[in-house]
Amino acid sequence: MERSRGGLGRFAFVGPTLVLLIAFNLFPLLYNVVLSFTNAELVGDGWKWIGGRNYERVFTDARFGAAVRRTAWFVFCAVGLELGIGFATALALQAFTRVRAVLVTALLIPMMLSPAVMGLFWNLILNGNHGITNQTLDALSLPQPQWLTDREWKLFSVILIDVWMWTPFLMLISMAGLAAIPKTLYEAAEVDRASRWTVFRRVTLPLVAPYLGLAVLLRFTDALKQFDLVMATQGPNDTSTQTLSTLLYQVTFRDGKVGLGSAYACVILVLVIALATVFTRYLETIQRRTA
Amino acid sequence: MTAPFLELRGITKSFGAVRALDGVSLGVLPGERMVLLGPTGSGKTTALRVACGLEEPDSGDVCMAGESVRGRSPAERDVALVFQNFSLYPSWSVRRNLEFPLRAPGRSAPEAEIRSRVGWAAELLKISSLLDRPASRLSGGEMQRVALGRALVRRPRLYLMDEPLSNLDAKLRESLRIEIAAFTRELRTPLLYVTHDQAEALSIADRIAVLVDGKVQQIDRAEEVYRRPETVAVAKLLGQPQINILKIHFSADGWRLDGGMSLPELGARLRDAAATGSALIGVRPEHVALTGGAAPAVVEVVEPIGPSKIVVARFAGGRLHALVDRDLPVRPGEEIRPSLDLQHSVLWTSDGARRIP
Repeated sequence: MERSRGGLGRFAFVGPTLVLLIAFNLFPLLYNVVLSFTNAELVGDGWKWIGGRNYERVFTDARFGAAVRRTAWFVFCAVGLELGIGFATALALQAFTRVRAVLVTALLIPMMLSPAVMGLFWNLILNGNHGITNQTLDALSLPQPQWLTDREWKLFSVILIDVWMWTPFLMLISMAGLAAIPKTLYEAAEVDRASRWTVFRRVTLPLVAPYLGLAVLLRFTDALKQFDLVMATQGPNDTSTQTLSTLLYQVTFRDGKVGLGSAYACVILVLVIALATVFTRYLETIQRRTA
Repeated sequence: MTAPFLELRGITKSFGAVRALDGVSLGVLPGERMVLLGPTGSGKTTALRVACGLEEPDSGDVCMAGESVRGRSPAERDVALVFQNFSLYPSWSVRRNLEFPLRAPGRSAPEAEIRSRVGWAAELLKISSLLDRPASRLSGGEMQRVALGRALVRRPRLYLMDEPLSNLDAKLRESLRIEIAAFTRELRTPLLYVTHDQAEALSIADRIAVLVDGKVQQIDRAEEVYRRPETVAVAKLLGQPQINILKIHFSADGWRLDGGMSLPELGARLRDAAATGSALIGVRPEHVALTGGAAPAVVEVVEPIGPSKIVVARFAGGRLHALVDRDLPVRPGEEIRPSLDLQHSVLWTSDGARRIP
């Protein structure tokens, strides 16, 4: 009797989620793929099939190649610095058990603020004329770069803001990983006269690696779609800070070329899925090794 | 009398408001295997860590070979320690894990020596076939063998083991226990072994030191601790099933059990205690017979345990455990008249803190 009601009963549990997934994930995705083969525009109606012409334009567009390289550089620098500084901070904080709670709370504040608000804050802080950074540098008689308008500095500034925002996250995960290492492993190493480097390399590192890997994966996929910081500090059209996401925004919503924008979106999606797959595979091997 | 190799003298150690060790003194003789037995939270691990040098005592002294080692690091004390949770270097192979203590700075042995010692330890612990396996791919039993091996290759002055078998399943625990007993006997290096498991204690120990609430209750050969436990707490730690502890009272016509059964044989032994009016008597389950007694008891549970069976009966206002032959016919609900072998009984003052000889 129970079994005969099983089909309906099961659907009652899974159904709502399934419907929502189809409505908000699967349908838009498929619709986006369809649009990418048309010449649809934001204004005006009626679109025509134009086959693969949008994709041709994506791959011949100089902006696309530049945005890919810039995004890659941004991800590499931002996540690399966040990992390095975050992990180092977590290691350093191990020594300060008393003040740790207060310090951690203070350090976590940037992470809890909205990126758009963050961008606006930093707009003020880094403002070339009346920003506090340059005023301080001025007071110290040091050179004052135009952080947000100089082509050489713009991307660096965006990376800096991202690092400032997300380093605490890496620190937090590192701390969790470090706390999970049994103390006896360190004591066993002490009895064995292991050098500090050996202890770090052979106990600490392999045991926090899975945690760090997971944190980097999360940051990596997030940084890959960097949008808000660039929008808040530079806007979508600035050529020296244009990332894949802001390029996509520019094409779709500023130029109004929905068909071409959809093609961009499809290419970016494939790229992200491919990278994330490679990364998760790698993460799995690390986890197997230390499990 | 030989001087002890390791000596703890009046060790006191507190963690915040908790006094973990309260004037602990004990000595491990050269080549002796001493087991520190105690219930959870009795301070036995702390005592071991103080001996190792991972923990500094608040007061008291730690001596090795007659010389104080207070303030010296575990490495300087030249001890080897085996932990409950295996503690291997996860990314290294078994071989590198075993070699590591020999390659550590300031201790590097010649290559041939390293190879022969690793081979010897692997042979002894039956892990030769695992040498090239990464440490993270071992089962719990294999990991603990490697951890033991890592302590063995060092040939330290003293072995310290902190419940090395507690994380293993019953079968492995038993086989590894026998192996530890065998190779430590062979090595003749003193061993201080911490456990809460009486079977391990009886199997491995030359002498047992019983620790309860941070105080040493008794140090003696295993057999003596079993037969003449100094306190009720010690008596309860050794023996499976647990010893029967019964209250006895002195009245006009001599000593009686709580339930009323008269125990005239105790009169001579308890002459001095008669003034206080009460005492405790301990009778091991193997010294309880199901017939021949004066007072009745009702059998509650009969538990077959292979070669014998445990009979639990309601008796004298409490429960009485008896260990009897497995062929003896007895069923739950049956009325029996248990008798106690008082020759083998132990007597304590009524607070259970002192044995009456």
